[in-house]
Amino acid sequence: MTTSPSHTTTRGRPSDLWTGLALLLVAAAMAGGALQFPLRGTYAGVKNAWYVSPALFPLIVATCLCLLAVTLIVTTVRSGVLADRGSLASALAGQGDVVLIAGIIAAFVVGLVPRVDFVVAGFFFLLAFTLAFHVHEPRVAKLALGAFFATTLVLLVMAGLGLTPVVRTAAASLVDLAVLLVAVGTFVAARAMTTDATARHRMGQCLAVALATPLLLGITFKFFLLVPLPREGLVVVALETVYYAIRGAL
Amino acid sequence: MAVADQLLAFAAAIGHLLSQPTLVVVLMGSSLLGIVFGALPGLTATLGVGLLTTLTYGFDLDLALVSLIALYVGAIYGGSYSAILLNIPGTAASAASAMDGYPMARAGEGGRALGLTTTASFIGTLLGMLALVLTAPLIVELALQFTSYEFFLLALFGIIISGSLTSPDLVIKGWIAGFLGLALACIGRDKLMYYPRYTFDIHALDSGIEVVPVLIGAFAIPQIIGTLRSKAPLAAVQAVGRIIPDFRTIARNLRHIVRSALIGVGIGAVPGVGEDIAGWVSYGAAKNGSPHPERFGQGEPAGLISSETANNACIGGALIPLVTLGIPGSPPAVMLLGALMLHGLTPGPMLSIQQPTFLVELAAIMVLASAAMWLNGIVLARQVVKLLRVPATLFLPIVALLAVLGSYALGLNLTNLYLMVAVGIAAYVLTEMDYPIAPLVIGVILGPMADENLRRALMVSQGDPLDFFTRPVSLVLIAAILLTVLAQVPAWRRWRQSLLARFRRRG
Repeated sequence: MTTSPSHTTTRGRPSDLWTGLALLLVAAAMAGGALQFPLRGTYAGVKNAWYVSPALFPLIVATCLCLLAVTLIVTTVRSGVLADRGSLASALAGQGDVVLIAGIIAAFVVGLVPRVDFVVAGFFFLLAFTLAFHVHEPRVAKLALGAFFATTLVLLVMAGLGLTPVVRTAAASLVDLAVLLVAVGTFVAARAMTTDATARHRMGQCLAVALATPLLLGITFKFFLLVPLPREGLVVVALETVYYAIRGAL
Repeated sequence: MAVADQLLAFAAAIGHLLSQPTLVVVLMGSSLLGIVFGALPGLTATLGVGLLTTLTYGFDLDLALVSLIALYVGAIYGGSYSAILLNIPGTAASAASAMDGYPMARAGEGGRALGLTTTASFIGTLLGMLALVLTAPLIVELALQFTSYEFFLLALFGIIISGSLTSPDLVIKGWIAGFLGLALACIGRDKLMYYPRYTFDIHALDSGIEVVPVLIGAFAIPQIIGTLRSKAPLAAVQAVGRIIPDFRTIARNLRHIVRSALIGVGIGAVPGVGEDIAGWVSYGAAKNGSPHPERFGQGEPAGLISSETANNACIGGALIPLVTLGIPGSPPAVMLLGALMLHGLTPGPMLSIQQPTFLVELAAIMVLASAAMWLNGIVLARQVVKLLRVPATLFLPIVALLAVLGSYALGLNLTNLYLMVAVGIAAYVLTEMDYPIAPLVIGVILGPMADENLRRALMVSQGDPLDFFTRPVSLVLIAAILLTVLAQVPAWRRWRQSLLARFRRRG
């Protein structure tokens, strides 16, 4: 973050040429799709005129996007920024962390959330995420992310083979337990990797955050806001048992 | 008489809100949460309002509004903590505050700087509220005359103007972002014929794109990726000392306060343009109007007071088009619009008819939110400062988890989650290529309004587009859109300059 007004350029950048071309494709696909919608004639018993057609607005938007994309391409070519060949390479360099962070979030959402108890999934996600970025030990980061992505991959393969167990069954609890054990095992292995006091202290912080956050969020959403969690398995069922036991006792 | 009735209703609203202990606790808690959100670099007011929206799902409207407005006001003010003590603005809105706030803190006046910021933000919020209350009924009266023609053009104008003013690079990129938002808004069954558009046989898309997951994705994911990627180590937090309101300095800078509030309200009312621009413009105006511009940047209280008054006054300004026309004035107001829609309220001119007391209640909530902010700021600032030592590598993964759960909780379907991640990653890529995100989300929100009203207008005119040119407001809006677009065309600019030069020569 800077403490001065945002830097303003009016020349654009070499990548604008590629985004312009990509936008042209998007606009063309949008217009192509819109042309499949009823333009005139009768739809669902309603006589249609061109100005009531569901295609009208998408066609206008697609045309405007097309014009803007062409203008962007022309502006980029005429501005001479394309001669700045180093920019694209330097822009691509250093994107490793971006792919990694986006990958962690995407893997969590696509792989873990629909298939594992939310508290367990959240625990593993936070543990891997914080170990990778908070501890500042490359070996620990590799281990945490390796375990996280491998687990996600196994779950996706299982889903692909139709082996995802039905929620609130013994098989589903076994999967939750397996993921929990992998997460705990990853932490134990990561802790054994270093004797550095600062790194170990940070690992403790990671564990505390990973344990407390999903538990607190899970309890808040499930029992106070009455919002069901994406998948309720091993831990959520245990929490339910405790919650209703307490309520029954009161 | 009408004014007296309004004042009575206002007092009654304040009394009603304060008589509920839960509401007071939520008010103070949300305000404090907002300050924390604003203070921590990497978290923003927009993100805070978005994430809290998902928690207010089960609240009644009063409680939800109190928590969201208190967080909004607190977060815009909270950004000044890290700006003053770390020289890193917690939110973009407080970027200008670092210019004089940090030198003051380095000179051992951190407590005084925070005290000035707290009081200036409090006054700024109140003046913004006053502007909202005074102007909103007039705009509503005008807007009630609007028909489909004007609503379509208004939506278009909102996208064009926000695209023009928020783009950090070529203006055309702002417009592209806006039209991409409109393209996203086309997904789902259309409102007039119920025909499925771009749903690819996915039934979850039939009702269209859910606004809140899009907003959370567009603002949370780029923020998480951008901050974790930068890995910039934080500077040492400057000592705070005692937080002093320093009313004498505030009184000496009254003209700066009034001018900054006007700037804040004016900028806030422009769709999509937020508190950061208000802060900078106001800072610049204070510096240019000062007999000692050389003191600015060296720890001049007038600079700090100006930027902080303006960014908080911007809140009231941003709510003016939101409440009266259904067009959000700033990125956090975009989130607020999503929250209001979630609670069954559709902002716009009809709101004053459906909920006649809404404006008065909103004003009462803003007053209470600013009071809560001031109290929290004076009493708890030193505790909040301790949080500045929490590293982003610990709290941003928590934000990611909250974003995921929040996006799911709204519709209880996984499609929203996938949508949030996809939009978030796309928004990050666009941000990296200097495309502004505010026009994109404004496009998503205003898209259905533009689509429906365009077709309704054409139905009324039996397909004759010339009818757009027969109504005065419609003509003004067309002229505004054309001038905004033409202002970016080099040939037009050259022609206008030569015309002006010719006039000057004749003069």
